[in-house]
Amino acid sequence: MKNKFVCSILFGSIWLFVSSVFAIFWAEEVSHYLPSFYVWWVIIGIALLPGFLMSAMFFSNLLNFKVKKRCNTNQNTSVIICAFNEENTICKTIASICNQDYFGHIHIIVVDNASTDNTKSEILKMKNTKSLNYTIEYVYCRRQGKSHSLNCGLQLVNTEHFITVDADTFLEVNAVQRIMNHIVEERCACVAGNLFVYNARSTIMAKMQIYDYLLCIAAIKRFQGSYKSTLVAQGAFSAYNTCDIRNIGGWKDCLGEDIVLTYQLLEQGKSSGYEPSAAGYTTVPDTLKTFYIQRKRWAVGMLEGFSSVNLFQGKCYLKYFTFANISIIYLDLAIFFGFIPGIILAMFGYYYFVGCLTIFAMIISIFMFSSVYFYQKKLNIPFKNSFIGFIFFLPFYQLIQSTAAMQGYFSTLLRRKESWK
Amino acid sequence: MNNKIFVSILYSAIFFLTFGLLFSVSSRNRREPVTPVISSSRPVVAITFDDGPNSTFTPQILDVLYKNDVAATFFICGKNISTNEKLLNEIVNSGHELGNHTFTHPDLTTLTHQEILNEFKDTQSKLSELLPDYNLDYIRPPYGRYNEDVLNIFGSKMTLWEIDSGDWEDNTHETITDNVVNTVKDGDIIVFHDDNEDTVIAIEEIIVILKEKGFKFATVSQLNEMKAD
Repeated sequence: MKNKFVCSILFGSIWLFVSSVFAIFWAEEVSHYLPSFYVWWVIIGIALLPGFLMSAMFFSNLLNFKVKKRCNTNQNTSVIICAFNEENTICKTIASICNQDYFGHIHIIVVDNASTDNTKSEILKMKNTKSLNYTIEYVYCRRQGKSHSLNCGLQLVNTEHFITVDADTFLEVNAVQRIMNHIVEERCACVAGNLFVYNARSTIMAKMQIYDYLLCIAAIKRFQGSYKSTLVAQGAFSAYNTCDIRNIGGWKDCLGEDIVLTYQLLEQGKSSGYEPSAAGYTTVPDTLKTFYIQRKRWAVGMLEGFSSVNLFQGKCYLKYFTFANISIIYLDLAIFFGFIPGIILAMFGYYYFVGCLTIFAMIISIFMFSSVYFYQKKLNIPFKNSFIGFIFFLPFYQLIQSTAAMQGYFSTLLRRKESWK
Repeated sequence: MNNKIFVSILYSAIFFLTFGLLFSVSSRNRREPVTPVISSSRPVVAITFDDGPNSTFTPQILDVLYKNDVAATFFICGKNISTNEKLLNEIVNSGHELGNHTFTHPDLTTLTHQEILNEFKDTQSKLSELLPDYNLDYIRPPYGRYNEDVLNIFGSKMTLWEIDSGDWEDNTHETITDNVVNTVKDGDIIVFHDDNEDTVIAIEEIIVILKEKGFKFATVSQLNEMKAD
């Protein structure tokens, strides 16, 4: 594991060295026209740093291309589902867990977080279905907030491991078996599952997200997971060690409760895995507004995590991934104040920041995305594609996401409590 | 903060930054052209540069020439035109002159009659795409090598040099400066290459020394006109 990590960082460093050599000439040339400090700031932000991070990730994912086969566990488990006004999806979510092909028993704890619609009756309808493989328990949590309902569910868990699933996330038939196999075999504190987009046919916004989950999020998680340092075991579908979660006091009341929880586990020296073969389909925001709010929340969650937990004390892997995650703030800034002005300058014939080297970087991205795509295909998990979604994803997705993230950083900086709904 | 207000502020900031950058980069092209004062009572030389334009060093040379109010002649290679269009506009707008130094910089003595013609024609056509009204009146054979054929085709349009600065030989800027200032005389054409750091340093030193000696600077066409008078 360590050798692969060292090789990947070495590969990234070689890439960084070669691109830096080119960048010296590039920067020298552009510095005749623009301030030198600004030129270097942009070149590092749009070329050198992303090139280093992406090439290290690309190489590591190539080294870890093989899907690990694991022994099937028959350990009993629990699944916590938190629902707030989820009358339309809760039955399907519960059904996807009831239909699991799992060797052990599954205890499904559905926490109704003070819903005002028919969520309760829908859950009770499902509770009446009987099977030897699962039991369903209904819990009412009056105090609103995701962390409160998760902690409420945690109190009722009496298995060594448990899984959290969002009320609008639907699991593949063998997802529980695979994620349980991983957490039992690797003795991790938490393991993140592989999420795909469920509502992939609804709007352009949702179609674009197919490729975020399929290519970007999956690639990052696989890179981090290869070294048991997945920075976010997302609440939508992850498995946890009950004892470890109880020891840290459960979920904190904050916007990125799953992010902070994972950081806390990692800070304590616990490991956090990623199981690509355990698949779930999650309902993604299908409007620009809801997507924007979600990504703003993720950005704040990341900063909340870093402000409450010091991950730089951990293993070298963790230090690297923390550095990579923090550098996203810089990359977001460079997109707005370097890349976008660079494109506009190019439209006027000044190819200072957008030129041949940008095309070269794009080719590398295509290689990386292709390798991730083929890996996901190899897993034999059915997922939807959208040509229009991909076409829109390329130029616009990062822009929208970074705008939302910038607002998240900005409001955190001003220590303002945002209204997310 | 309201999402729409934040997005408006962010994109306005990007707009103003981009506007500022555009203004900054285009300011070079808005410079007043150099205004050489040439009198027949003072010695005059023509500074020429071969093999450019070069995106790294030509802008630095242009800065030196602008600072010292000196006009020069740039013998350009056609292959460098497409990647340096803004720079070529800047050279012309700054009051300098362009000459033809072939398209691919070959040794003309090894080419056929038609190949020689194509080398110069291609450069002229490439430049005409950018500056339709600009004619490259003077040509310079690469390495200064030519034969009867070249001479027959171009005759008086062919411009060589009296002083070779030696900057193509990896000389230091001190040697380049010495090569020029120790031998220069009235009416000389001096050849440099705008593709290295030492030339940039040397050119500034040479201009200062020659100005002290009372020299004036002209383009090749201005110098030829003076000689004809």
